[in-house]
Amino acid sequence: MGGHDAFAEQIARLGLHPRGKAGLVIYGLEPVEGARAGTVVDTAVAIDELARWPQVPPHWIHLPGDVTLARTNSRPSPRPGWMMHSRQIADWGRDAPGVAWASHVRGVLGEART
Amino acid sequence: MTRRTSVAMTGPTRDALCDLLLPADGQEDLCLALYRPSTGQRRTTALIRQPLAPHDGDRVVHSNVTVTAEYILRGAEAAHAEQCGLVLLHSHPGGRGWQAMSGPDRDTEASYANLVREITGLPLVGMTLAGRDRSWSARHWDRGVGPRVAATECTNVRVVDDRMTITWNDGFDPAPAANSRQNRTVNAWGEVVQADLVRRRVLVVGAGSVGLDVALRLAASGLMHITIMDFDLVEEHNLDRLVGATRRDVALRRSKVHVARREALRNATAAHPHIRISDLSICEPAGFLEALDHDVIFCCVDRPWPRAVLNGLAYTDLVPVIDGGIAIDTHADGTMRNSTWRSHIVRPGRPCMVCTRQLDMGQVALDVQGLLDDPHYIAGATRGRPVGQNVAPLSISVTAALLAQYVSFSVAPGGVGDPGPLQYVLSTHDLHHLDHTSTAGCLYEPADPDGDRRQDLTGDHRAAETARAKATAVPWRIKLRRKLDDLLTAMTQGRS
Repeated sequence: MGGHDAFAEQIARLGLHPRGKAGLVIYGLEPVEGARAGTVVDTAVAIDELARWPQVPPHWIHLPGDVTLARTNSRPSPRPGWMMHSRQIADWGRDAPGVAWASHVRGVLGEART
Repeated sequence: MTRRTSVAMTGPTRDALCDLLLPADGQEDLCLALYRPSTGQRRTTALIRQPLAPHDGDRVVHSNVTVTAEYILRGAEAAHAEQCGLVLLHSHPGGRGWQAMSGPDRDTEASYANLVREITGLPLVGMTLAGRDRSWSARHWDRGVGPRVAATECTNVRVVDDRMTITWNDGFDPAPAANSRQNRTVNAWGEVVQADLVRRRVLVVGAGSVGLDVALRLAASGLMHITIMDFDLVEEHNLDRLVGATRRDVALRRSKVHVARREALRNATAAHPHIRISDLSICEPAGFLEALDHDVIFCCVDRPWPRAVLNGLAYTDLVPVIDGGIAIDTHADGTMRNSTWRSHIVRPGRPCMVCTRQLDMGQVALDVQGLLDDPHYIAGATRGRPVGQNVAPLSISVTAALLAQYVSFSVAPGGVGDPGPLQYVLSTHDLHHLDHTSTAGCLYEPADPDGDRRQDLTGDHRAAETARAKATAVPWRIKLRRKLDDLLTAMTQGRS
């Protein structure tokens, strides 16, 4: 099984409570570092970007506008008030896809300044 | 045009089937196996997944072996549960080469063909193993229904292992007689190998410096069926590496595949070479289907998306991909620090491009979205656009590395096939055997061939569409000059 259903199932198994909204899969993640450490932050991935999951990981990480990152190449997200940030995941294919993705996003959230 | 059919399997599957079909007592035997179809543009291949060993009483072995209806039913139900088709295999222990069907064999397969298709939704595939040289022959029972059910004979059966072994159906692809232009080639590996190599359908993906060289050298060695796939046009900055391309090709807005075909034909030694060209991308659905019609693929592209598609196809559809590339490292002042080139064969039993670190799947999404060509995105990215250094004196080394892999894989000099991933270091002139293995999380190498049930990595390809539009939207003056140039080329080639 692949695509956004597989993605949702895999991150649900990690207790991240995915839900679909306006072309995005939104879920909550708790970073261990940075300004948001210890609090659950909503984040999302575009369903379009999950068409080739798990072989091809998404590129853009969608975050609420009040989460600011130190260095970023960002664009407005389709979700009002949110931004999508360009972040390339490293070493894809070496770990279980859901775990690797959650770890990647947690790392990005660790960069949050606000 | 008649649709071609074939069968492919891995070496371990072949070995398991041989164990079942060639018992120590030398009697004929039979067994069942599951397959997934891999449907290309013009060819359907049955990809054998796993054997279903018979239980006691599933077949009656006397002078000839007979299968029971219970075994067929159990196999068809297992196939249906696994969304597979069913293969009925039997052996001719004293046989050698492609086997013709005897009347009783044909009657047996025909009698179950309708039932199996009814249960599985896929044609029964019949196979025969010749015991003396382990040659395979096969047919797909894919025509007609009821009493009119009929088989389409396969064109070949391919075994992908450390060496690629192909049994040819001479009725479809007769071995051509080697001609005087191929004497030195035939002297290198013999007539039998030459007859095998020249019949292979080879696809070269990418007609840049490496792809063009690969295509023309394959043509020179006598291959009869080569397809070259690329959507790009020849540009001024290609001329320092695209040997054979000229400023006239740039002026006439020639496609790279046009130039590659012209040069391949100029060098071809086959009596009737078929050099097909395609202006599709392997990332487009139609380009992918085209690829499935081939026995071997050369990957001569460096973009992550096409490489990801080819990497997957090698495992899901059992079409081995011979891959390689060059990296040139420069000092801060722009002078050369070092260069390395690598080559490897992507196939079951060997690590995939991701595991050998020749493909970063994290970059594929960028390529799919066209961001690697998006100046706005690149301006905001911290790492900038890849520089893409390459030089003609070294790109020929990549070509040589790929072709050496191909020869080892096809000819197995001294009995040694696929050598594994290799890296040549220019600064020290060392050749390294790279000790790569598949990682625990590998999504490709450990999987059974999925064929048409693979995860689809293809999609619309904006750059390919733009290039094709650019190639056709040329003023009538250029079109006229192209016609004259084609005429001149045809006359020159006719004289040579």
